[in-house]
Amino acid sequence: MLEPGADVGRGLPALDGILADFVAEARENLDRLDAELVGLELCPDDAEALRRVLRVAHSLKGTAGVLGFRQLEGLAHAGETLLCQVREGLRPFDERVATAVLTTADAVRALLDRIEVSGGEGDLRFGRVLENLEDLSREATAPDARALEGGAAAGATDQPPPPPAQPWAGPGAPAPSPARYAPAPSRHGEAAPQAADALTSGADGLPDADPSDRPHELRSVRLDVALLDRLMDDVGELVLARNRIAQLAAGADDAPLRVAVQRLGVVAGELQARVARARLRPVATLWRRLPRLVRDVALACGKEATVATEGGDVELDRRVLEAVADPLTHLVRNAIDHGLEPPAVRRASGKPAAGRIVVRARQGAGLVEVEVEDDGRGIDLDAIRRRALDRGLLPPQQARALGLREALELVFRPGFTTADAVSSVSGRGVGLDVVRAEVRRVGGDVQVETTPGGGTTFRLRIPLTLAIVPILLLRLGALELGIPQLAVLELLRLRPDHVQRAGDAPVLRHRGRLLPLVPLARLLEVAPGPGEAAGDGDDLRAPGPRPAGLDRGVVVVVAAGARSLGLVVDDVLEAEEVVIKPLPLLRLPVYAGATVRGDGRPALVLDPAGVARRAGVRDGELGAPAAQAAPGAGGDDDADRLLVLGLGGDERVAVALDHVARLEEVDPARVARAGEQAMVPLGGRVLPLLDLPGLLARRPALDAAAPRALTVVVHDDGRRAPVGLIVTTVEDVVAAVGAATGPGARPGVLCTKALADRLVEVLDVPGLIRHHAPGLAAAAAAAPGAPPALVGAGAP
Amino acid sequence: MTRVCTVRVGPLALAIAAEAVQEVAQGLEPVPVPLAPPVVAGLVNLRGHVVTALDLRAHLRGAADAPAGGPGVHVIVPLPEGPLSLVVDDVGDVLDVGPGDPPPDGLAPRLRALVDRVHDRDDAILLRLDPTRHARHARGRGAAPPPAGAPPAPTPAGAPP
Repeated sequence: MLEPGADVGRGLPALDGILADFVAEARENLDRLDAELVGLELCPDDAEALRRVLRVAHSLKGTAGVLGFRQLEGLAHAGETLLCQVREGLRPFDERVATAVLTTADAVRALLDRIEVSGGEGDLRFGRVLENLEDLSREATAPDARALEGGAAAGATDQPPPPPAQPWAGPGAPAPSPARYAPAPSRHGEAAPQAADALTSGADGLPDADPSDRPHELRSVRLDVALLDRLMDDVGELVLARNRIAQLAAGADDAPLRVAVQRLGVVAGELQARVARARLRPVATLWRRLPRLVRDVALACGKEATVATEGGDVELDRRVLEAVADPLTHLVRNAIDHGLEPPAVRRASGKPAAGRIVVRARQGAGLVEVEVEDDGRGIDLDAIRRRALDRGLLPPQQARALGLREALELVFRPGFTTADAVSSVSGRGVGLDVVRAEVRRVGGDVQVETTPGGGTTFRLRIPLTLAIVPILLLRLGALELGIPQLAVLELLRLRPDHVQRAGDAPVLRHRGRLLPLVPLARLLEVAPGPGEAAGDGDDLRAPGPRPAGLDRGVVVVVAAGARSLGLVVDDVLEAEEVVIKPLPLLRLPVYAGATVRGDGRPALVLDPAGVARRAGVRDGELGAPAAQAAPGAGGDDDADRLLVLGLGGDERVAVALDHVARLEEVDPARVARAGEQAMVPLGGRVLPLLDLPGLLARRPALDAAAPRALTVVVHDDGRRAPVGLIVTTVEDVVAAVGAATGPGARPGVLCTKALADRLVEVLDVPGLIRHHAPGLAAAAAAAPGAPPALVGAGAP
Repeated sequence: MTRVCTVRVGPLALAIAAEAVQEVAQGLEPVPVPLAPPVVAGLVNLRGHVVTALDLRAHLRGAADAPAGGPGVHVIVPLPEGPLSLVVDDVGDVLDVGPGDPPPDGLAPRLRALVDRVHDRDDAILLRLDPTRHARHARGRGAAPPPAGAPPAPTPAGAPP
């Protein structure tokens, strides 16, 4: 027998629609989830896939909570908790985790089936599934782990989950006052008063569909999107066929034929335009969910909020709409939970008790902007700085000097949150990073502006024609693949004599910096060079690592996050404007997708961020499987790369590769001294030297009896004058993955990291100078940018 | 009765549920995908759609003697995530078959990972493939069958009948 369970207003047509959408969407997500989980099992380090899985769990939890499906919400929450531990590196993604999560997915499916039939969860109970998840979670956490509370409370037994109170409000939290809900009249007058009445009258009165929608619905038919897509393809083919016929007819001396062909041309053109228009939907379809979302989220957080929408008549391709939907929901949730202050605080600061959320869409040149604006407290930059310090995301002095823009960038880092408590609404950090990733996947971006005390605006910018992207075609043996042109900074002819080696890693001196070189053939494990058979995959798959392919070719300087790297390819062919589609069925993060080129051949398109990630990991692999050990912080686009240096014994130190201007071999005979300070004239300037083996390992290189050439790393962080670091060996370039294993134990050392299978001290060069060469530090302070040796020489 | 489309991969007689087959295409040249598992023959352009092609011949024979004879025939199977092409040597008749039996234990592991049901015909044994399993093989590295016990059967605990 079916029981109503926690049904919210069953039988109302509008809600039926919402439920149907929810069930359909959740099922689709679960299907994707299965695929992702299976993929993750094969390849547990795929941080992207994990992020997507977390996103599914998170949005399922959110929507289930809003719709009042407590058991569903509890399951999703417990699953998310477990997966968060995987992301944080607290436990590996192993078979048990996969099994537990897959079983949960099945339980959720069973619940969805029931919800579809009866509108409620009915008497289905999945206590054992929940317990299993929680047992696993408990293994990895200390008993006080706050993250567990919600899940554990929700389902330690087979009792029905707690009533739809606020599981978010911890014990002792003030009971949230009933949220005031009054949608501000939008520009299009979307029947606001009526909706407000319906909502204030209680849970049994939910807003009905906008009556003005109805005639429209009667005159339209539901269409499978796949059908629409296929129609679009067919029309494309038709247009091609028409062009061919027109060519043939042009040569024929047959007037009636030419007239018929012309007519065909006109009709085909119109058809094409209409099918394209059939894919457009007004943004208002997204706005419809907002009032309810705002109301429920506000209620859950003890906030008061109103929502206003603008620009609902902007029409977008349905794929663009799809791409916007999830990020939008998340940003609105975020705005209420994090952006708005509690009513009492608002009143105290002279604001109306109810916060105001404005969601607006605007069509610009080739792109659409969707803004979510709140009038809340703004983003607390100090909190971000503190958080960045606590989590070891940045070295201390960098965190303190963090500017507004950089600080705001941090909120998009995976796992970054300033929320004090993990709540059901947000605060796990599963969020802004995913929002950004999703938006970027369709070629857009998200930005944030904030005024302390005045509010925050998140702005999504999404290209209108999803995906017409200019790419540059690269040749690699017989293979041709594309890279988005936007990511390409410059193209250089590779000159082998300019290639240097930092340990195993090839680097190129370029514009005063060392550019890490990545032979694309080796990265993709294809044999480089011509002479390979085309069209047969087996010939292109090299059985093992091949020569680096650094003897010739073109260096494509690519921006990936804040870094750049040089991809070495055989040739750069041409630019082409293409539509990038996701790679069907394959989960290979080095590719952004695939496209069909003008000549009809498919071509792969590289994802610069994925390429950089893979390059970073591989560099780590060269000397260091340990570099991969901590997936949490590691896989980031702009993971710092460190140059690992040897000091003669077991000691390893590292400096940021970004700050390494170049490597020099110096004849010890040229080293001069001014007081304690050693220096060497180099390139018209005097370079002060720090004898690292002497300072850090009691193995002075300068006073060594055997006069051999000194290896000098020229360190230039752009803030002070360059300084030369004498080292014994240059070992390796590694991605600075993993959290610091400890703080620096001595002056001049920032932290200790486990890299390359051993402990590496990451140097704080300014600190090193302050401690070991105070004269230089004083000189730098007195005359920033001036050649320090002149002052240093005169110092006592 | 189920309607199946028979295909040939070397000496093997295989079958794919006819309703799972969208179309059969010839003359497609796959563009290889570096880093993809060996079973992936590459990408093909099917009327403007980029479709992943899996070479059943390479997979079933083992990667060792991968050079497959001839360009092969692409059997296009739509999956929820997009269409998939299964490259086989030849496509045969469409037959009606009974419910069939579960695959026998003695089946080679490579086959067992893909075969759903077995049909005993008068003239031959037909092995029916489950296209969704192929999709699994296309993901991630290593075309090994899914680890034992990985995706459990959907038997939610405590579910009433």
